[in-house]
Amino acid sequence: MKTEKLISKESNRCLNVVANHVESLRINNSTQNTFRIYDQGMIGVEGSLGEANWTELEQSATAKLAQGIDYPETHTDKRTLTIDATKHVFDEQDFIPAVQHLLDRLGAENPQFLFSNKVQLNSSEDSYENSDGERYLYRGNQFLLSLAIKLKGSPNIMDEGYGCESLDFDEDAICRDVKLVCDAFLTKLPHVQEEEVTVIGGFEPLQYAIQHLIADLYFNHASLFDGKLGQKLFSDKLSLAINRNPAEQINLPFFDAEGVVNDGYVNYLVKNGVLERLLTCKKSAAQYNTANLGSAAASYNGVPNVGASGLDIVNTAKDLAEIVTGRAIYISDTGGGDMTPSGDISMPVMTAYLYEDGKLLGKLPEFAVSCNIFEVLNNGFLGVTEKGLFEFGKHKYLVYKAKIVNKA
Amino acid sequence: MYKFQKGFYSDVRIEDRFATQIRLQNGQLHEAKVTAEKKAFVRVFDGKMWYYTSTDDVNAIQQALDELYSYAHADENIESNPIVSRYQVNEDVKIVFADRCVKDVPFEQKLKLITETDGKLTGSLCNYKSAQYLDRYSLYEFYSSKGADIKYDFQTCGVAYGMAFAYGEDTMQEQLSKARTEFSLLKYTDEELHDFVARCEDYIQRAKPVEAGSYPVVLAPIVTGVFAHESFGHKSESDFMLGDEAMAKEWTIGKRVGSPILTIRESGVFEGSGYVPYDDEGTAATDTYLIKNGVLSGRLHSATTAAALNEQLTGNARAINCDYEPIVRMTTTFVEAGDSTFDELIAPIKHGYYIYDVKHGSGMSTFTIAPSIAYEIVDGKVGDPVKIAVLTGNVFETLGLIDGVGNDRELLSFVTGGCGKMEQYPLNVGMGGPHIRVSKMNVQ
Repeated sequence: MKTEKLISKESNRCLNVVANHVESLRINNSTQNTFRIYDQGMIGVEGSLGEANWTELEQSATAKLAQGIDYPETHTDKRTLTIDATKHVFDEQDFIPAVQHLLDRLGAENPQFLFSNKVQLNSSEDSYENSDGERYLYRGNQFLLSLAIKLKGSPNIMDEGYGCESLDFDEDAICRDVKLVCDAFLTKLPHVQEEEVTVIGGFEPLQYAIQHLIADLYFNHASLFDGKLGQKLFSDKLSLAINRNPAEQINLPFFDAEGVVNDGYVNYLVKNGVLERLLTCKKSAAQYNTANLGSAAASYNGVPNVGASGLDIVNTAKDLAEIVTGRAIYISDTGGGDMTPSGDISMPVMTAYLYEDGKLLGKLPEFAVSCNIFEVLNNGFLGVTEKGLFEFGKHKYLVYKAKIVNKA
Repeated sequence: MYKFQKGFYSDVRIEDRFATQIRLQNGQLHEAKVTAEKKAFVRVFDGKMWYYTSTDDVNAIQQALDELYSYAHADENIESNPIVSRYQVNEDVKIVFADRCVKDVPFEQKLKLITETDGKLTGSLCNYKSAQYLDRYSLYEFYSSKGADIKYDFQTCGVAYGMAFAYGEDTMQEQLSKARTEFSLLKYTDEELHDFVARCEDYIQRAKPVEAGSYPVVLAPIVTGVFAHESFGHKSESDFMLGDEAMAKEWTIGKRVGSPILTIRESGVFEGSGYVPYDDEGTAATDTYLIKNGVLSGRLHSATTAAALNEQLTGNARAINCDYEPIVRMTTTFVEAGDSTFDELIAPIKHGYYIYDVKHGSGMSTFTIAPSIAYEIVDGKVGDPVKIAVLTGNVFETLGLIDGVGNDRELLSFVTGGCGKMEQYPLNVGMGGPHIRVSKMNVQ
């Protein structure tokens, strides 16, 4: 028999911003408790909110063993680790004045635009312990900026966005970043003539590959990558990992929902183009006799399942200049998108800019990009970097080749 | 009940939520969760700023209110504030699901329902299956410093059967789902189950690629619903107009925004996943025409947006749960029926597409619909299945290109997913409409 106790505490101060003004302050403090018991190949789980009554939780979880949910009982060595990754961002009383000052400045420097949505200060404390003697505690925090930018008079709900997470606050850097985007937005350019272009964007194409890396789908022959585990499938430059390294991630515990701590806090799905592992929890890893990636997720009162928190593409370059030579298109916002059963991806592009020599030259009319999942992660994959356009906060840029279709 | 301090507007929303989630993977039980949570969301307004907090200890609501008062600054004229003066003072008890409450259905019956159905779902090309049962019964209470005192309930339950198919190098996942407000209505017939598998297996074996371009399309009722929600529903949420006077002038009621045969309505009165008899500011549900015969006829409001635009409340201030403040959201959004039959809609199309089912959609200046199953239309007849990644178009241009509206309106509820807006996802909404024909959409 084995038991586990998890406590997750979150504290959130959230400002709602409406047209350059702080409209509200929301204060949320919450605690979630989880008790799990594993016995004779079964699991029982119970959870609660607020102050925990562990005796009651244990009794209820034990009773739930009778539900008959199969789950492997794994055992580990004793290990204790506490990591406090919190950093001071604001004194609480300074938060609203500092954000309003930022908004005043953004409004003054970009008078044709309105800024709305959320600015948050979050902190968390997550602990995991089990009857084998493992004890983990993580404390983290984040400053989260999520601005919806609207051109005054535009019929759109929003025209641009600027968002990132950080462990500091630098008003000057934020203002420079936002001005870069707003100025480029106001410079209208015609469509590019090329049919195939270099795209600087987010992880959008990758999101369609992720579900095909889930062990349950893969081992039931329902993955596009069926039978390819262990094979070189993608570009040499592509390495995809679950990265819970507290030195690199913000407000993310170094252990997964089952208390798995990977060596160096990192475990690879894809390394140098080779499909090495799949997204698993302890149950699916045991069920399919494959290595556990350590990517379990769980609700406070639910059975652990496969998750993807900390999913990260390893940087291939120190900045965009190392990857992009000549012109490229920076896609700021895609309007959805999807993939066909054959792996053909199409993404309508709402906001995109022409990029050349490290600068955004202006905004392009709307269009769509298309690519194939196998191509975009192979010959079409040009690299990944964190540095390029913006100064403030954490950003990551995926650079790939795609075709332009449906020019407006 | 609560001591609301003078000089402020305050309200308290309490949700006592019961929820069940059961999940099978390949017939094996993976989740069997019953959740009971009682939470409260507390708001205080001083005329300049809102202050919010949430608590999972309903015995500490007064303490939460008092803490918020300590942040705010009293305004003796708060009652005449244009936002506060708009708030309705409803006193009502509207309990409609108590006699068919999902809390009273034994867990074993819920498990048996999906276990038996899952066992019947078999296909030679299907390698992986999941089956889910989900329900929720929420009892809401709402109290305000103006005297509102409301109690009402909400219920939804549903099943979702997911199947993954593989044929050659192609794979697809499709879901058969049903959401109702009563457990007894969740069974599928054997014929429905057989038809679902047969359609999926036919699709993955025969679907052919399309050449990207502009084509006439016919949308099935569920796709029409997603289109109405994404293309125009979100644009009808008035909070995006706040602070933008030019925008308010541009969106004058009475402006032509679509084809004369297009009417889009929005209402929280229909029983289903968009049932909202009172919104989270205590406003009673209304019936709002967003577009009537192609003309802009209304929009969706919270008290803040109604005050800013000097319009009436519509009952659309909603939050996904008691962790969040209400913002302007949809309830049930649908296109009104026209007079064409399905055959009449497809008859004039030489080469186009019939979008039978949809995975998801999104909408800004351009809307996107990702079909899960679609067919070619050739010479007025539905033909072979086709692989389409997305349908897109400019919202305003496309609303004007609707040139056929069917007579077969359906209002649909959903048990998985929901509507997302900024940080708040998923929100239960309903949507629907009849088959509609659009003369031109981008197909990729």
